[in-house]
Amino acid sequence: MARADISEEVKPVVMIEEQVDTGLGPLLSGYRANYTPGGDTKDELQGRFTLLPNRPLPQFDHAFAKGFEARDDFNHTRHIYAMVCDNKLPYRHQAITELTGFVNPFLVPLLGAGTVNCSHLGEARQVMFFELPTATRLSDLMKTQPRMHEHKVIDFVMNPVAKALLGMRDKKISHGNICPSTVYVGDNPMLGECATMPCGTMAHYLYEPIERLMCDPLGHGEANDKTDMYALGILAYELMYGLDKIKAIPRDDFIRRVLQQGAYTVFATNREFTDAFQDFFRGVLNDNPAERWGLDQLHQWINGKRFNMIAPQPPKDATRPFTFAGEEYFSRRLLAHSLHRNWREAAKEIRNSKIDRWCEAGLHRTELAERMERALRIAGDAASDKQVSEMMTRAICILDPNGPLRSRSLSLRPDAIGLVMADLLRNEDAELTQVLNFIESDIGVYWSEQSDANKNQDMSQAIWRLQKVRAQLKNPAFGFGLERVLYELNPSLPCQSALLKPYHVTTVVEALKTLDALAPSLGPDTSFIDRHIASFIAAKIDRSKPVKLHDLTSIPVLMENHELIVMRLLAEAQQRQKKLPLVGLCAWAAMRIEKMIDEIHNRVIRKRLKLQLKKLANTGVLADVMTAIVNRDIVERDHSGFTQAIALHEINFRKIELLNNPKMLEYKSKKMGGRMAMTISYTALVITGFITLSNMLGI
Amino acid sequence: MSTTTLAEDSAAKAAAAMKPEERPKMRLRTKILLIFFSLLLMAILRTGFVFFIIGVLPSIVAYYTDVSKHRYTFKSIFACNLSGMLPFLGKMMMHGPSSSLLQEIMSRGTNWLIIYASAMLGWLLVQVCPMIAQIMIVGLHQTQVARMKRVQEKIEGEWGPEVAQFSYSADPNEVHY
Repeated sequence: MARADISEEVKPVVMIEEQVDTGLGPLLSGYRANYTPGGDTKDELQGRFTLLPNRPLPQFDHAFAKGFEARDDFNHTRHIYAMVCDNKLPYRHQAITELTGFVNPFLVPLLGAGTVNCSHLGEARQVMFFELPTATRLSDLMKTQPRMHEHKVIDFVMNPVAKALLGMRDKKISHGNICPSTVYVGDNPMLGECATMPCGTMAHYLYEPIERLMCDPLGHGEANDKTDMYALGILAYELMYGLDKIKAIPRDDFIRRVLQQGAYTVFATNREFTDAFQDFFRGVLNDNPAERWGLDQLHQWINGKRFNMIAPQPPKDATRPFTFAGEEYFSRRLLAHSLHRNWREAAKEIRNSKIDRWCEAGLHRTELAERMERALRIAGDAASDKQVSEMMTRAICILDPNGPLRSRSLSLRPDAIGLVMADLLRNEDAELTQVLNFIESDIGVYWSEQSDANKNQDMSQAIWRLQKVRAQLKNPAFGFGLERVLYELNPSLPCQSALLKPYHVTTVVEALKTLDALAPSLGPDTSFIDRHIASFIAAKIDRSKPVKLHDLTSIPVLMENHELIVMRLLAEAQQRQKKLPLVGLCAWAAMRIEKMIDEIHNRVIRKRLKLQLKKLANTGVLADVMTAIVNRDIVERDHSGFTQAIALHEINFRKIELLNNPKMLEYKSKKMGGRMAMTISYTALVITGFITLSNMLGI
Repeated sequence: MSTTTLAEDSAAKAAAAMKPEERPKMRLRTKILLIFFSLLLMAILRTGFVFFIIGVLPSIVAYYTDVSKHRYTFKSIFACNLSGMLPFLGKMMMHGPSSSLLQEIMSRGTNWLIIYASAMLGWLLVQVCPMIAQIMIVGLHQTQVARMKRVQEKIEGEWGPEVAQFSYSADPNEVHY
């Protein structure tokens, strides 16, 4: 056979290129960046503040940061301490920005904040340096002096706290964690720091008003002056009367009591307040956020103004009760709470419970009934769990418009979605789906529409962000999805990529410089494929559309290559900076691209592209390095050339097969041999005929 | 030319080589010419026409045994056979119809030997010539194959072994150049 004959002549085909020395390896290994990821000097911030990791201050520790002694190298007489934050949760970015360097005699000064390379952790973290309060912490004082006279409460606690809060209000921030642990009393009374922890996480739950009390620990969202006033009210109450009895009540029972009787009634029962404090408690312990005292009223009250406040009445919204789970409810908010606590039963019964009719006949709120009827229509008989859940969330929103958003096992305010999401991701919790459902169903907008009290500037911004990330959540492309939502909702969250996390990267420039500095140790084997890096960069450069490598349409493998997409995002981020050469990052990327160039078929083009990689990497511009592969002309020329080469190869192969076919050879031989024999015979005949004719004619 | 066309062409040629050839029917014009020449020879040679018929018997046999399309065997044998007969036919035509001359020619065994040996020579040509042609064609093919292999190597060298993905129907490693 022809193939057998051909195979006898096996010869290795010599390729034009296979091993091309690009020179990228030596370039990358010899590269040393000027930038040190995480900070040049260990335990130091801005060359001024030094963290002393061997001297912990456990009295300042909390769930989100650890306290250490620190030193101000510019002022050795000043006593300062440092708080080393956890790097998996976002910080109160606005509070940090506004309070850094802010001087208020009644507020613990935040001297400096930023990324510090912590030697005891072996990684960089957000560290905040505060002046060490010289006064006694109120919680410590309460151990020796459990009760305080009301005048002392006003002079030593409320007055300084109010002044501190007034200063903070000027900076458009609130404290959110007023409690005995964050108040210092003595010669130099001060309100403690609030920047290292989310609002509502430090204080006992009794310090939260009812609409925040029902939230999960991280679901409180940003505080405001009214929530701070409530906390200050409870603090004053605790100092004067103690909270031991109320603290003994289980949390859910306490919530039910407040919802049934009202916070003021719960705290005021069996208590006789002075006229002044009666006004104060009636003003701050109001369950209606719109009617609750703010900082201005407190200031006036401290200055001696009397308000003659009417005692808040126990909530009774309905003229006739609504029966659920064997209990009769007159209060909308209590019913909402009960529906949440008995989610499964409520989900089964709510559609047949005629709750919309109760809204109309019991609450006398026709518009509420219509809204409830619309909400119940979301989930029909064959509704999915997600639809039922959304219906329940909306129904609860209607009943308790000031309360948190509630799902089966979550309860949070819309502006806390980002923080809760970060926490659930940190713990890889299954409840994350419920948070994502909140975003997908655009429930934030629905919640804000239910009450005017829900509409304020900060909340509107939070809801606008939730609306913005809705489309991004559904997009599965690199730079989008869950991670993108995480960074969009938490602008202060450091990049959670395993590569960058130890270096506490919070900006695009830091990310680029860190990757550039890490390139010699990471490249070339480490892939760029990292959803966190992609999403972090995309969020910071505000990329609204997924990266499409249209130039690589003819090579589908490369067109969908996630590594190239991440590189493109990094290149775009670099282009937005002025003069930021990244030779290390470019060399690393070039070495990754070198492997991708093997997708180009033509060895001549391949060799040329590989040889120019070093030159491109030396420019330090990632976009230039990418032109080696993301190049429409080259890719299309290669694609069409390859198609033609395949055709030509096949044509030649068939021709050789034909030429080596023995039957064809026999056929041709017979044909040509027959012609030859015939030609010779005819020639002989002609010659014989000519001779014979010559003889006949006697020539 | 597209690869499909070439493949089809190749297959057609191979199939044609293997297919048994049908005997072409004698055309009417040939038949008329044959009758005309036979009558002409009968008129010129008279009884000598019998000698002619006996002399071209090998050709007649070859005509019926050669079933190929081009009838190279018959044509070669007939041309050689006729070459052997021409000197005798010429003599008969010069002397005109003569029984004594016819008897003299037909009675000599050497004459028959010459006539049939010439037909035999034609048959030998038919046998030998394809062998010579095969040697020539093999030489020519090998030159062409070598040139094409060089082209193949160049293509594979430039575009890699994957360029041969459609060239080997079953196993890409079965055939190498």
